[in-house]
Amino acid sequence: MLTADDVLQDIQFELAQSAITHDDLGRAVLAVRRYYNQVRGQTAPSLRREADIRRALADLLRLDDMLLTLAQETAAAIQSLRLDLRRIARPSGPDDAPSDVDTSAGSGILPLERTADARPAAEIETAMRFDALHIGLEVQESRLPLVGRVLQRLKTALHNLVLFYINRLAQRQTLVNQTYGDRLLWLQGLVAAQQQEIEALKARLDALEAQE
Amino acid sequence: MTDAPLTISLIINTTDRAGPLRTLLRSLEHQSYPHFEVIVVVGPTHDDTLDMLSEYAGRVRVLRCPQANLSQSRNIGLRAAAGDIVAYIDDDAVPARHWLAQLAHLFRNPDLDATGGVVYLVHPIRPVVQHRLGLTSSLFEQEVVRDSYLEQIVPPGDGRQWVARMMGTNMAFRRRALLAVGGFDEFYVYIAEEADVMLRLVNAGYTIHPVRESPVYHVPASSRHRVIYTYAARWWLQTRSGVYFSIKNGRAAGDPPQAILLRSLHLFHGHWIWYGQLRREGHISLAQLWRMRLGEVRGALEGAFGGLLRPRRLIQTAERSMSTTPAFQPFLEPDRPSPPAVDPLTGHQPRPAPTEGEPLRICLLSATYPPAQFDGIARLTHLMARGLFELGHTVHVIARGERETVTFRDGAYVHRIPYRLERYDRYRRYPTLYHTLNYSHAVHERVKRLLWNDGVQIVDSPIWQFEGLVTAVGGLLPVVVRLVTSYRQIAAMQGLHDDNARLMGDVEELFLRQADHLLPNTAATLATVRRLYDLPDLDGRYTIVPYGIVPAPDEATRPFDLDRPPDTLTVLFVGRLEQRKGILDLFAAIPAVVKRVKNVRFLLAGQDNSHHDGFQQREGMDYPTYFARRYGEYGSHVRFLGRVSDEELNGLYRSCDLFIAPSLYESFGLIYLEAMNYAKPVIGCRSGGVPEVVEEGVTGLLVEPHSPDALADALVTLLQSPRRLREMGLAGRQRLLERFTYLEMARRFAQAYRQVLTKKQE
Repeated sequence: MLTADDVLQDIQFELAQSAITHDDLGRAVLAVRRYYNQVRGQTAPSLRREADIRRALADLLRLDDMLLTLAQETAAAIQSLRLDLRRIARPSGPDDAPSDVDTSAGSGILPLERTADARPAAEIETAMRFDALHIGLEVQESRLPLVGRVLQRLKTALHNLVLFYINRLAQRQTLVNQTYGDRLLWLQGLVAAQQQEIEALKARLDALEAQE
Repeated sequence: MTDAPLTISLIINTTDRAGPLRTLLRSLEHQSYPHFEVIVVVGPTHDDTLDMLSEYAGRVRVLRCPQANLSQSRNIGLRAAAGDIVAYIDDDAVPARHWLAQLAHLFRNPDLDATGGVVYLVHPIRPVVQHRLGLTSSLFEQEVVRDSYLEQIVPPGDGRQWVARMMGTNMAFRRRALLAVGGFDEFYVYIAEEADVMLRLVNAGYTIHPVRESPVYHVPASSRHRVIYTYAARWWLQTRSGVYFSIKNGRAAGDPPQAILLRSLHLFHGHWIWYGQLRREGHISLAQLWRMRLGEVRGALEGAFGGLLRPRRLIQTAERSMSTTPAFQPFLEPDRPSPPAVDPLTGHQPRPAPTEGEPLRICLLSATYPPAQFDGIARLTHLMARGLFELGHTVHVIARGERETVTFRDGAYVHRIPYRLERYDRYRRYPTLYHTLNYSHAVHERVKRLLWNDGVQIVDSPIWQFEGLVTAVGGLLPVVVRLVTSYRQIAAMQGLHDDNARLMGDVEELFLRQADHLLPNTAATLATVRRLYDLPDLDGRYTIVPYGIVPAPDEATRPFDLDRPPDTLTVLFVGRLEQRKGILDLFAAIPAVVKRVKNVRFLLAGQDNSHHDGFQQREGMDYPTYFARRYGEYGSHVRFLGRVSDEELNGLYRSCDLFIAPSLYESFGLIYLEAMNYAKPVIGCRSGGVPEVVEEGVTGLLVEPHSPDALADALVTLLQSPRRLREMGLAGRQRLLERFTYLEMARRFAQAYRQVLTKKQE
C-alpha cells in the first residue's frame, strides 16, 4: 500500500533527476560551436578561389550538422539511460499490474517476486559498471586538393573534443549510477533480511499453530 | 578574469513612446545588479519624451538620433557606451529583476560575446512566448521559440548558414566585439538588424549563446511603423529588410543565387497574398490594399538594390579608433530604498505608507485564476494579489493553462503553465493524486525560474491540491500554506474512504509538515486542521489571517430605510443548493416564517448541487422540485434564481433586506462579508469560522446547525424589527471596513510572510 512517505521519496527522486547533466551537455555543444566559429574565421580567408571556398564551407556545414546531431544523439542516450535507471530504481509497483488486480489481497504482504528482489542483481551490477560511452566516429579522408589536410586535422580535433565531453558526461552519470546502485544493493539486502525474518516468523507461527 | 564587476550600458532606443519609456525606467529601479548605466537614444520625437527624461537628469544619458532608424539609433548608443557590455531593451518592455545580473553572470565567461534571453509578450488577449531560443538562416528564415537546442538540431529551411539569434528587445553584447564587427547595419530601418549582427559576429569568430532565462516582459506599444492591435503597419519595411538580408548574407554564406532569388520572391509574394486576404476579410480598404502593395514593390526593389549594389552601412574602423570612452554614469542611486512594484501595462506605481515596510516579492499559487475561472480560491488569490500590489509588493501568480503565457492582471504577473503527465507513474491508479503531483512538479519548475529571474522570496500555496508540495520538499524557498477547506475534510463529510481519498489526505498532511508556516483564515479552521491531521506542535508556525473583500462605495450601500419600509421584505440566500449549505433547514424554516410574516419573500441564488451531494440519488429529485412537492403552498413566497452573474449578485445584495446562509460548516464564509458590504444584517450558524465573521447580536444572529425552528425564530425576530435590520446592517458594514477589507487582508498576509522570512534568515 502506497503511503505519504512513498510520495515524499518519489518527489525527492524526481527533484534529483532534474539536477543531472543538462548544463554539461549545453556547455559541450557551446564549446564545439565556439571552436567551429574560430576555425571558420581562420580558414575561410586563406582560401582564394570561390569554388574552393564554397566546397570548404559546405564541408564545414556538413561537419557542423554531424557534430550537432551527435550531440543530440548523446542527449538521447543519456535520457534513455536515465529512464533505464528509473526502471531499475523503482520497485515494480501497483502501476505495473493491471488496475483490476488487487495485489495486496491475502496476507497483506506482497509476494516477494513483486517487490524489490524481482530486479536481478546482475542488472544493478551492470548499471554500476557503466563507466564510459565508447563512441568512435569514422573520419573519412577528404579529397579536397587544397584544404583536405586541414579539414582532416580539423575533423579529428573536433571528434576528439566531442568524445572528451561525452566521456566526461558519462563519468558524471556513472557517479549517479553508482549512488543508485549502492542504494539498491542496500535495499536488496534489507529485503532479503526481511524475507528471512518473515520466513522465520512464519515457521514460528506454524509451530505455534501446531502446538495448539 | 578580474574580480571587478562588469559594467553594463543599457541602451534604449525610443521615438514617441514617453508612457512606456517611463514604465521601463521605473522598472529599472528594481534591477538587482547595480553596475549599469542607461543611455536613451531619442529619435525624431513629437511627444513629451524629452520632458519626461529631464526628471532623470544626472542618471540617464540622453542622445538624439536624427532619423527614425533603429539600427542608426542602436549604433549611436553603442558609440556612447562606457560599459564592458552593451544591452538593448525596447522602450515598451520591462525586464525581470535579475535580468542584468544574469547577463553579467553570463559574460563572466570570457568566451562569450553575445547573449540574450526569453521574451514574453504580455498581450491582454493573445499572450504568447514571443521568443525563446531563436535561430536565423542566411536567407532570413527564422525560428523564434524552441525549448531546446536539441530540438530539430539540423535546422529546416534552405539557408546554408544557421545561427542562434536573440530578439532585439533582449540582447546583450561584449562592447568590443560588437564594435569590431561595425555595430548594426544602418540599412535596416527596423526588423532583421539583430539577426544580421548575429551572422556577422559568428563569421568573425565570436561566440553567441542565447539562454532560456533572463526574461523580458514585452508590452507592445504603437510606433510610427505599426499601430498595435490593428493591421496598420509599414509591412513593406520587413520585405525591404528581408530581401537585403538574404542577398547580403546568402551570398556570404554561399547560398546559390536561385535560392536567394526564390527567398526574396517568397517574402514579397507572401505579403502580397496576405494583403489580399486582409482586404477580403474587410480589415483594410481597397485604397489601403494598393498602397500596401505599392509599398511592397518599393521595399523589394530597395532591398534588392541595397543588397546587390550598396556597401553595408557600418561603424567604420577609423570612427572607432577616434572615439573616446565617456565616463560611466550609474543609473541606480546608492543606498536607495526598494521601490514599490510597477504595473508594466500602465506604469502605475502604488505609493504605500512607509509603515508598510520593505516591498516583498511574492509568488502565489492558484491553479484556477480569473478571468478564466472565478471559484473560491481563484477569487481569494486574485484579491490577495490586488491588495499586495497596492501595498507595493511585486506579485507573481502561477496558474494552470493550456500553454505557457505571462499576462499582467490587477497587480500581478500571471504565469499560466501547462503540465504533462510525465512523472510519478506509479500513482496512475490514483488519478487525483497523479495529476496533482505532476502539476505540483510543473509549478516547482516555474517557481525555480521565478527565483532565478524575478527573485521571488516566498511561495504561498492553498492546501487544496497541495500545489506547493514539491517546492516545499525541494526547500528552495519558504512555502506557506493557506488553510482553506481540505480534501480530507471533504472526504470525511462525503464519506469517501477509498485509497485515493486516504492517500490525498495523507499527502495533505505531508504538505502541512513540510510547509514553513500555516495561514488559517479563522481559529476554527486551525482547530479543524489540528483535529484532522497529526501535526507536531504548531506554536509559532501559524498566523490567523481573516479574508477580506473590496468594499463597495458608500453610495452603493442600502441600509434598511426606516422612513420608507418596503411593502415586501426580501430574504436572500446565496450558495450552492446542497446539504452542506443548510438548504434543507432553510426549507423547513420557511413555512413557520411565512405564517408569522406575511409580506416576506425568499430569493435563493445558486446552482442546484443535488446530483453531487447525493440528494438526487436518495430522493430522486433536485432541491427546487423537492421544495415544490413538500412545501408547495409556500411556493409563491420563494424564487429559485439558479446561478447568477457577479453583477446580478451585487444587485441582489443591494436590494435585499436580510441575508441568510445556514451552512453546516464554513471555514470562513465570504458570503457574509458580501452581504455586510451592502449594510445587510446576516443570519448564519455557529459553526466553523462563521462566529469570527459575524458578531452575534451586533451584525447578525447565529443559531445552532440543523435547527430549523431556531432559524425561523431568528428570521422572524429580525423581520419584525426594522430598527434592528438597519442597526445590524450598519454595524456589519462598519465591521467590514475595520477588519475585513482586501487591503487589511493583504497587510496581514505580508506581515506573516515577513515573519517567515525573518525566521528563515535567523
